[in-house]
Amino acid sequence: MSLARAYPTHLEQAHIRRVLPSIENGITHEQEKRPWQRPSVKTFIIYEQPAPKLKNYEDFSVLVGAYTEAQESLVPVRRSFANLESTFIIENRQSVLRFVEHHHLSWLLLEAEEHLQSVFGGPAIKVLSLLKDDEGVETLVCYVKFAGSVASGRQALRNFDQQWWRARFALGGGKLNFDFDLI
Amino acid sequence: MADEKVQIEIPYGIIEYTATFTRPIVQSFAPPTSMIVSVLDALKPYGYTADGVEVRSREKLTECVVEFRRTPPGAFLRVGPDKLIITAENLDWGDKEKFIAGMYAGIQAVLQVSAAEIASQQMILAMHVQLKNKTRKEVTAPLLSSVGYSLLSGESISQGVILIQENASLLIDASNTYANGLFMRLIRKHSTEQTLEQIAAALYDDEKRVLDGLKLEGDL
Repeated sequence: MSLARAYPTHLEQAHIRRVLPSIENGITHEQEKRPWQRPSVKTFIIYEQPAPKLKNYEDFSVLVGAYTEAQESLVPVRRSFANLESTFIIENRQSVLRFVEHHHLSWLLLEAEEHLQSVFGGPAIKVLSLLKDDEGVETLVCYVKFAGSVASGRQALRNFDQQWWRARFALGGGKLNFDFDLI
Repeated sequence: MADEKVQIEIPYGIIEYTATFTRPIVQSFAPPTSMIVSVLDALKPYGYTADGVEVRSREKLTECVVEFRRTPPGAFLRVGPDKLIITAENLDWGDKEKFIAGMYAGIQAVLQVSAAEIASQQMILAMHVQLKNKTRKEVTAPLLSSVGYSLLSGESISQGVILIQENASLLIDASNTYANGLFMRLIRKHSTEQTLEQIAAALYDDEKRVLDGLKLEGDL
């Protein structure tokens, strides 16, 4: 977790208000009004990191209608996807997020995260990837990047199945699966 | 294996170019009609239309601004009495030539219609870098010395760095938005003589230097 989120704002150090629009040490007075741009060591811990603007789901169809295909790189991201982005590495972001949205898998993935962490021993890289079989049927797979052995990875996956996933498999509609990948 | 590069993706990046004027261009805001017409004419080939123009008047002079937003979105030019700012999201280095041409056209239009001169230039790059095959703890481990780690008891889960030079600064921190990501912010000020191409080249060098230093590899 970034220190920026944890640091209490009432401990911010006072800064000198500049009158003239000068650039000194890479700091313009304009930057001081934008928390995320403050480069000063004294205040860096109280800043925002710019991130994609989240759009409401209801705007999705309006956006698709308004924009041309060339603009599809602008991914309308539902607010709940913000949690997915901060929890999983998402391959082919647009396709995966559409698949998650279409099959209502977001909440299931976020619930799974805690159980995956406990069986695989702490924070691990988790990757969401769409797989297509020979008949063209797509499944979303969550791979846990695991630094142990094949045997211990299989055991961790078995534990995950027994403790949590087996009871919820049907909720994924057969569209979600979990596996591990050795790193 | 120790020298193997870490694969990355940059899911979000934003650049911001700021140029301040030697003296405020107050006359161009009373009203900003001529400036809007000139800048729109210059930026029309780059996707800017009247639909994307917004004029905001405030009680404070320096907070008055004319904003030109591009359609498709992701880039805009903001002109205030004391500065102009160009911001763009998720640019590819492959788009560099066209983007610089658009920036140049917009800046020249503002300078000509306002009889303004640039007093200073600054470029900022802020981006989230997602690491695909190594944790951010491992990637950023070399950034801190043993003294740094000892400043807080307990095990660290992430570390970063801030470097400040006379004309530049670098910040590396854990990303708040993307799993296993790093947030990086590069700021560099440039002399008024430097062209946009030179500023872009310096930014590319800075970005590559940071990524190479951390042994990161991916599409920029």
